[in-house]
Amino acid sequence: MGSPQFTLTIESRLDSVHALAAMARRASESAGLSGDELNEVELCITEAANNAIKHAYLGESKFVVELVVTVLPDSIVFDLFDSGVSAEASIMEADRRHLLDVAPGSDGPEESGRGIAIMQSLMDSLEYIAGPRNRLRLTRRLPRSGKES
Amino acid sequence: MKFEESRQGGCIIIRLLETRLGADKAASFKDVMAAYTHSDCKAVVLDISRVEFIDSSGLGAILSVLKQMQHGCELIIAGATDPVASMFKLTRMDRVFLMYKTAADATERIP
Repeated sequence: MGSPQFTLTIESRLDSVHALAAMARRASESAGLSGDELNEVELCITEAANNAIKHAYLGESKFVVELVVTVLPDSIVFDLFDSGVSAEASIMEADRRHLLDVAPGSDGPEESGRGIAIMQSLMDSLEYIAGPRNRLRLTRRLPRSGKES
Repeated sequence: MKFEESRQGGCIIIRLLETRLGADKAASFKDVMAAYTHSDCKAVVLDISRVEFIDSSGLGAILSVLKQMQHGCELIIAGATDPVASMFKLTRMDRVFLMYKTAADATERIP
């Protein structure tokens, strides 16, 4: 018997992203995540889909974003697909968590650019494969495998 | 963007009536708040007690408003729910904004 899998495709519209996040949340709940963990999944999927729409599709709404969620024995995997402009994997995967620090003495915190850092902070891994169909893979270990919260 | 405005002492209280402040609402949020950034008041209290979800775009929109506030008028965040407060903490924005548990707490502290 294969691993449970959930798939949802939306139009590339920012006001449709909540549907993907809600699906990811439901799948995560069925896999055993709860409370803050579900909020974190919802946030990460939202950030991922927002990035695809804003940057891969440059804000155009005529395309689609697909989310495939696969529940494995020890983790839950979120694959987000778009067919827009590819990012460089090295840039996507570079550790950006320092961007969440507030730089002193500047003009104040930047208003954007935190999405990847948030995903890196809240997920156990982030991988990006560029191609005709870009894939961002976010993985979160499940509690029974020893995820520290 | 649904909101309510009220005034108390030297404060303007803006209560968001949305449950989500995400990328799709960021622009309309900034449009609404632009009317208050040059207000003749001591503080604008942004009551987000109904907001259950915020993403980095929503947070960026609040930061944008903060940067536009007229000198002498503070932007105060009130009523952050647990998921929203977690987002402020994760992004260190709890160090940038004045935050109170309720709008009443905020207005009590503004002379």
